[in-house]
Amino acid sequence: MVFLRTLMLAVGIAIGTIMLGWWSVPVVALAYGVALRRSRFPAMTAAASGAIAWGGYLGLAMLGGAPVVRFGRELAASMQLPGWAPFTATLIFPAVLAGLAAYLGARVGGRYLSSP
Amino acid sequence: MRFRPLAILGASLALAGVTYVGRSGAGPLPPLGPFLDPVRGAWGAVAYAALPDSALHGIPGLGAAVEVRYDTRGVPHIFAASEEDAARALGFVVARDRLFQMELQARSGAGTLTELVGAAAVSADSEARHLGMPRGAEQKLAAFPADSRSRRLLEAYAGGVNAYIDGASPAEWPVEYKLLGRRPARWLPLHSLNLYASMGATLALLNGERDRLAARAVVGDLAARALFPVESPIQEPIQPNGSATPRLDVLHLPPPGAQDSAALALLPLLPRGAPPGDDAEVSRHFASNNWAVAPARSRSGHALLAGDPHLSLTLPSIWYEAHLVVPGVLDVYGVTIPGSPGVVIGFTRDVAWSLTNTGADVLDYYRETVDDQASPRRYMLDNAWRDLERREEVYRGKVGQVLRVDTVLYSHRGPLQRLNNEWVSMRWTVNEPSDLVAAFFDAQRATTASQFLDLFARSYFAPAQNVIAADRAGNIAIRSTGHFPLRPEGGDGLAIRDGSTSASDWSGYWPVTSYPQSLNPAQGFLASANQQPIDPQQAPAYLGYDAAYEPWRALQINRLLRANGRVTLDDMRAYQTDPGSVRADWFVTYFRSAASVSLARGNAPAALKAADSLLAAWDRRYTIGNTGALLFETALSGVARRTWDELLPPGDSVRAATPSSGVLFALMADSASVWWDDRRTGDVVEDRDMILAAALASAYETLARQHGAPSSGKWAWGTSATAQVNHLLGLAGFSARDIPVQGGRGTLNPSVQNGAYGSSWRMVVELGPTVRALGTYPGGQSGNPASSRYADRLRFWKDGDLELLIVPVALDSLTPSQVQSRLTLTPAGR
Repeated sequence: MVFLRTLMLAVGIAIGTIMLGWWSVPVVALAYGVALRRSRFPAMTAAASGAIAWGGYLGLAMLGGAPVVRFGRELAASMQLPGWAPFTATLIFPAVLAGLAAYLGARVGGRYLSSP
Repeated sequence: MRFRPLAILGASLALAGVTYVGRSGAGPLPPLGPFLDPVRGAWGAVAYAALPDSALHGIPGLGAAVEVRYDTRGVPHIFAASEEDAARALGFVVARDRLFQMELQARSGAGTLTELVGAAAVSADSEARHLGMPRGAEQKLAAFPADSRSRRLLEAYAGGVNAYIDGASPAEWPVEYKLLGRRPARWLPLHSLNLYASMGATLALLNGERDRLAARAVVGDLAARALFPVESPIQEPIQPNGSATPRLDVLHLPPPGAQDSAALALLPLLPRGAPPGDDAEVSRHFASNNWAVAPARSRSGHALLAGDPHLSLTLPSIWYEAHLVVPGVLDVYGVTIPGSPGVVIGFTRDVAWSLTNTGADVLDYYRETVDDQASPRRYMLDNAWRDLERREEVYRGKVGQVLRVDTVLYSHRGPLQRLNNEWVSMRWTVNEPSDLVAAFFDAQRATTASQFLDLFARSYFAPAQNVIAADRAGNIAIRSTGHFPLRPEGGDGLAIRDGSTSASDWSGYWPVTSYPQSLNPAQGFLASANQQPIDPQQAPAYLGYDAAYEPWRALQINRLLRANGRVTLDDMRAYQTDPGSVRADWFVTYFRSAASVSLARGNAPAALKAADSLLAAWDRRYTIGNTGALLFETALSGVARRTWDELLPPGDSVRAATPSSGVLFALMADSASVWWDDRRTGDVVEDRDMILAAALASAYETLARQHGAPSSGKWAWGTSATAQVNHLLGLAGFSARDIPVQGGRGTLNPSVQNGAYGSSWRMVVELGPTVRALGTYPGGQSGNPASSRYADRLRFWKDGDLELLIVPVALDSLTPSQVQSRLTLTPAGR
């Protein structure tokens, strides 16, 4: 169940990113946190979903033949960073955004929306 | 869930922090959100790395549909119904591949780099503005009549660029914009003229005045004039002078004179260039070769033409290949500079042409008399005060904030600069009103070589170029084309003139009939490689000075062409990277002679014998595995250092200026000249052979210390002479560095400035009934580092190979296997 939720949220974040941009990540995750405030580990689920959404997008591009790995290394070298840095950042950044937003959504939602 | 205020506060702050960094960046980090966004961010580059099989775009202003076919080399073949449509389509396809480069290069000429890259570019922008480049471009545009063809072509090109920008999603924007946190700016017709100004600064901002004046300050006027002569001591000019061999003119070098305090006082009036290095000769930032062979000397019986302009090696490359077809009007293939609405070097079905830089002196300085040294408003001309034009220059940062404001003053000659409480103005042909667009578009309609040169000369102004052309009828022709100033009393351009009188001003320009030129010479070939264009014995007036020319590559081309009476297209290709060097041949003779004299004296160091043996075995070729070339170059630098010690200002370790290697070679004829004496060795008076032998032995010892024995393999030329093809922003990951290449100073494929300059486009053309052409450049068509077309041509370029150029006569003459991608551009409403 957690796995399915994670996957579905990842799809939601991916669609949000494609249609609206990066800032949809915390918005979708916040909504998720509020909606599923009673679920277990909403923040961790959202964080995983964020990473899966963006990482999955790159993975699909790679499967389609896009030179993701080569370009990532060149991008890293251009920014004087280790080769893995762009990939890691692309996973961590949405994960942190989504995790924090979902956590806040769940906590605040739990305070004001939950029935006593 | 339990309500935990502190945890919520912490999470809120953390989310706010991450969101802030995501939106605005932090320190050197770009805004992480848009940057890492896998759809629109930097990763977007991978999604647009390949050309789509087919695409359809609407372009406002297009008169009729334009079909574009990208061939297997990524070259767009544009089939349009009018020149304007072709220019519009060219703007679109170039922007599609090179948008960031276009903006960067245009901003370089406009002095607005800070708006793209930030405050780090203030000094570069300030230089462009104080040279008057943005104002010059604005004046040129204003001088175009509203309905002129050139203006319409510039506007059409801009329309094509902007149509691409308008239709592109942020995902398609070049990755550099995302790294800089910027978005593409709209393209204006002015930007193309800014780009021309930038090229003008690259090719025609020569500062011989300063070199000679700096030398004069240290060794006196007489010696300075001899060290920095107007005429090159080695003569094999562009306009053949009837001689079958190069001519060495005797150079009389008077002994060093006393320091000249007047020159010392004047020196600060001239802008300081880059400090001279320790090289054997002045380091050229640019060079170029072109030559043509008449049918009588080609195996095929058709005229042949070769061209390879040498410029800064960058990724993406300075050039973009394209083919424009307007039935009955235009059918031209070649390279364009992204941002310029036309082909600069290339060929039609009838004529091929290429350019090298003339090196003409087209910049003069004037010492102005102003009404107020601190804040001048007027300047004196012919005993009357004239108002100075004031132009406020505002430098803005990436988000529009004002970084700096200054004022540039203009006299009728050009911009003024304040140097040491004096005001000096400059006149420079690059800033004069001119129409380069017409020059190229007019000339491309020519059907013969001489017609091409005539049409080109009608509008072309600056930077002066040696234009070579060959045609299908077998004619070959060359002409140094540009506007060459006529100075008062036939004087040269190496003095700072008195600005208070109009008698100091240029009285006009050379008539075209006086330009250095030749048509179908008896020798059966023509060649230019930045040598002095015309033999001084035939020159009508001062054109430039020795330090702006370079004789060696021309000598090598002429040697190769004289030796081959049946030249093929492949010979032409091979010559472009020929590793032979007349310079090495000539200097090595003196080195070996000096070594044998020193060895005979019996007190030579062991290193001299080893060095001499190595030079004796050296084939004088700059091949990648060669071990002799490095020794020779190191030794020659040592000779310059020891010989020109008189040019060290007292207490300084950097030479005031360095005479050309032609002057150094001419000095070889006088083995006892006082210039050979190294004054730093007070107890010995050296002659030529002592200096050469000492430099050779020292070079060997130095290299042995650095690299071990010559047999170690570390003396190989390819390990030290590598090409550095740097990304335009210097980004390491997007650069191609340390590429071993064949060639060195004085060879046809020069490797100079630590390898960052070199052959930027190589083309050879055979003008038979069907034009046959080969070409390549160090880079690729795409400016997208993720694309396989980004640097795919480097492998050909580094080995001196060329690719066969596909030149379809019509849209349907391209076979399906030759087409990589289709693009249809249709008229769209505004």
